[in-house]
Amino acid sequence: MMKSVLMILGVLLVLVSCEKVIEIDLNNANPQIVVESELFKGENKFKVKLSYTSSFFKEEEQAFISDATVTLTEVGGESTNINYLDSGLYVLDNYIARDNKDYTLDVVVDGVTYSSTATMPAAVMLDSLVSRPLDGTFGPGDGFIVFMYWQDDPDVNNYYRAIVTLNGEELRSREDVYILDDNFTNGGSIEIPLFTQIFEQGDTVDVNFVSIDPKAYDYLLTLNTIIGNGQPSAAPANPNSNFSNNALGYFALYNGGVERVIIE
Amino acid sequence: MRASILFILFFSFYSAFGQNFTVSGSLRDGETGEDLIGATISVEELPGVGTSANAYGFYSLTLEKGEYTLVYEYIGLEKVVRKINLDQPLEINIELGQSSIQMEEVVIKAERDDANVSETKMSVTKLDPKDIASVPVIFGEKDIIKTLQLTPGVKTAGEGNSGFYVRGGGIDQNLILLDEAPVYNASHLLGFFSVFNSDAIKDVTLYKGGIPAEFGGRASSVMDIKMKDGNSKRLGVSGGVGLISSRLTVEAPIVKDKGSFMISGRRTYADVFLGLATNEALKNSTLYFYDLNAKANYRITKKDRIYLSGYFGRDIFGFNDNQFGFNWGNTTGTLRWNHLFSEKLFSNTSLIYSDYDYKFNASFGENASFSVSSGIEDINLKQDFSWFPSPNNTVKFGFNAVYHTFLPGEISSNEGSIFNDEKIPENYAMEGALYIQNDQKISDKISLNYGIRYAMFNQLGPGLIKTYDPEGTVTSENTFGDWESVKYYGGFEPRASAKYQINQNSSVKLSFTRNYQFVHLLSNSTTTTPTDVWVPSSVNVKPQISDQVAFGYFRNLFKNQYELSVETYYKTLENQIDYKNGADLILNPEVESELVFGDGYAYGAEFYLRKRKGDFTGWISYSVGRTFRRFKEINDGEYFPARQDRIHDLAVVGIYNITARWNVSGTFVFYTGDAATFPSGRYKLEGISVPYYTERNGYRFPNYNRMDLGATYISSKSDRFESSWNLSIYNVYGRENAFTIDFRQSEDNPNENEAFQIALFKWVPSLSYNFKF
Repeated sequence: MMKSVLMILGVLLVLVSCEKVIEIDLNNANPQIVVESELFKGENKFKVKLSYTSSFFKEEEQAFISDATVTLTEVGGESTNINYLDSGLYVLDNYIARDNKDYTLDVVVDGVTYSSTATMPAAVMLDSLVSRPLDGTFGPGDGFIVFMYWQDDPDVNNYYRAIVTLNGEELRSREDVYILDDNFTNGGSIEIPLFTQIFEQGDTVDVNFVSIDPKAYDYLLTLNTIIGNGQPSAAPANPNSNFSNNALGYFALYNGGVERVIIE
Repeated sequence: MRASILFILFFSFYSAFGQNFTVSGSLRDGETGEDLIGATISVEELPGVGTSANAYGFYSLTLEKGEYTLVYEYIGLEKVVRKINLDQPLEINIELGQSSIQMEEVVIKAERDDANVSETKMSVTKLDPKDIASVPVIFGEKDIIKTLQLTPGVKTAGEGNSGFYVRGGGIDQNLILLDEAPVYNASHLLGFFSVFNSDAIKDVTLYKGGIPAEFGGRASSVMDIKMKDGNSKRLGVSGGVGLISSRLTVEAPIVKDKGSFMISGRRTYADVFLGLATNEALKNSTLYFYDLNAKANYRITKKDRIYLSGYFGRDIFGFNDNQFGFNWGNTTGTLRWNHLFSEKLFSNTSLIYSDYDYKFNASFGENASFSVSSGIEDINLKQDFSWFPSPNNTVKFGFNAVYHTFLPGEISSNEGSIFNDEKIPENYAMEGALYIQNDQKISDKISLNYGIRYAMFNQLGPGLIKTYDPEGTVTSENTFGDWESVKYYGGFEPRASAKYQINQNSSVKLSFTRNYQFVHLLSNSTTTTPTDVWVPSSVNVKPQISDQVAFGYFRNLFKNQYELSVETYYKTLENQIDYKNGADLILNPEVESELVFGDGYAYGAEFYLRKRKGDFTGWISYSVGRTFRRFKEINDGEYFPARQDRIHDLAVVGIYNITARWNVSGTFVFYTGDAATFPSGRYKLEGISVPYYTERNGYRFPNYNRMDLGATYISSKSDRFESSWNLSIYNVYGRENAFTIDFRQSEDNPNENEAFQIALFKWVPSLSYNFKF
């Protein structure tokens, strides 16, 4: 919110400012491994995507890693090898992730092990989703805002993520990384709008409202600072990965459920 | 051994030659009654013997019994010559009148024509607001800080910004004093204006190195700003009307020649332009700031004088009928008592108050509104003595004690709001110092200024104090009671400067300064913002320490018409502060766990050539330097350039008086682009293109350059009334200097990224009308 104020001050400056595309000579860094994996509670398809970083400006084919050894372990339980499918994806069909368990993901590439362990957080379910017409409160124009209602658990630090599916299509653009913690709202009856989207009449909105483990939350929080959401930083840095050996990316554990609202 | 040398130096002046008497008094401007800080008194019969008036216009000179001719001088004023027969203590108060010869309009004030060469002090820049009146600046709002940014070793924090870096130090390493009160946020409107209304300012001195022992508390510099006392002869009114702000100053005697007051106000009205906006929300917004300076002084007796001065300033911002509201500002107050214990011992006691705070409120609907406030408050007692034992020695000593209250943040919300009320507990601390210094003339060629300051800081209860390990995990928790000491820091700060006069026109100087800094500014953005938080040293945060050695060569040319100096410095910085990735600095009760600690160093050379007299005046200032920081957690623990590591920095300022009524001026600025962190690669995550960073500040912004022009026309000038028009154009050739550089997907080809810059302020013209009667 502090940011919005600074942005509005910025608006006044924009009245006198001008923008242009410039040439900047950037170095090409050595390729670094990127791991992307999300484990949802319950029986789901578990996917791990492995790729390398590429040069910043140039158009390049994404370089995928196809020869890694990928293992998912329920700590104190079974280990499962995950097979390569294509396009950098390693897929495990019908994996059952359970409450209160720790999970470890190991990725071995060229003899180096990149490893991450996280705990399945407890679910907090939405009580309801309510849509309200924009009446000038949040800016001009027509459309609807969806409010989420839930009861925060006062005994723990909660970290949430809302993954929105609009008319059957999951929204995963840079503006859609919507995360919340309960630092200032602990234990409350929460009512928060989904700031990411203005909806139209007839839209079907599914919100997968999940609790997320703190390390993955920290990753997404630091990710947001460099992809243009949240507080911009004077000294940008890579997001705080939860993998060993400086692998980029995350292993995120989610626990929650889907609530639907149809805008009318 | 070292102690005994100090002892000898301090007390060598006790040797008595016959019978001595003291001549003392005060020096004032005959027209306005203002104290003449730094006016000089010399003795014709004794070449090289003399003194200068202190910050309150007081002087004291002790000589052997005899007949002398005293010469009182102040630049721009007619000198006064007095014959005295010194066979008893004498009090001589002098008022210097306006010079009949029109002196140069623009000078950086010097006590003597050759002060640059003859004084022991080095790395010092003095400004008189009169001097900067015709230097063109943005929005036509003359600004002491922005003019100082055109002098060597001082760099701007960014386009049009009043934040500044001195010799590679950070923005928070500058101690900014307004009538002795620290100003914690010297910026208005995101830094485009400084809080100092130059109509209310009498004198500014910036110490970049060789800082006298009477000052301390910041690692890099001291900016000592003094407000005008007010005209003690007659009512005076001055003011100005500009496109963006208006100013009015009134000064008058309380009792003629005994006391006076000054009150000065300024308000901007940039938000009237918002009414032109098509957007309803913008139309219903407010945005302005104001400053109010007030000062009064009164001579109660011949030996006692009191001063009361205050500053109140605030930025007010409201968006869409206060859906978001934001206001911030400083309040300072200083009560001073000058007392003359004897003609040789001058005392000043000050009680000082300073407060900075910001408040922010937002409303997202009926039960989702809240307000946030945060700030810092100081109460300071300060005692300074000046002792004038002999013409060759001026001793200053004293102490001060500050009680700091830090309010890191408080959220309050309306009833039924989803936001919890929360208050991060206040932090408390005492800061203190004891110092003694001597300005000593050893011989015609050698003079010294040496002293020592003991700086101390005590973090105090009450509070629950946590300690953290480097990962930010709590390692201990202890509860402390009221006034209970949590953590004590203290250390000696040696200060020394030496001058060797090569000949009448040239000298070399050497200085050493150590500074402790116990309060630190946390800012995660590229500019100074109102929400930057001041935090005290604590169990987790050690004081910053800087050591600086500087060496300089000073030379005046053509009968002091030109001033030339070359200074070099090397500075080390300990316990520097940076932040963990993604650190949350605002309203975080455990903010200390988000910090990382390291060290740094800076070095450089500064070249300065100034023409001080004639119809054409101005200067060329060129600084070359580097500044680096090192943190274990950042950049793999390697040194990296600080953001302000601008290698080259050049400023050229010229002012030309064409006729008595017309003058034109111009400035040109060039500097190396800021060090910045740009990506060296990218990757995809959740289908989003994410930049990949390899090193901190490994890249640079494009080099910066700009030219400003100004013209002043004096439309009427008589004894009673004077008025002038000032036109200036900022960035005359409309160069688009990068204010920010960012990256995005190319619109033409979504698979490619492109870099783009935002530039502010292409050709900003401004016009103002100023008057005085």
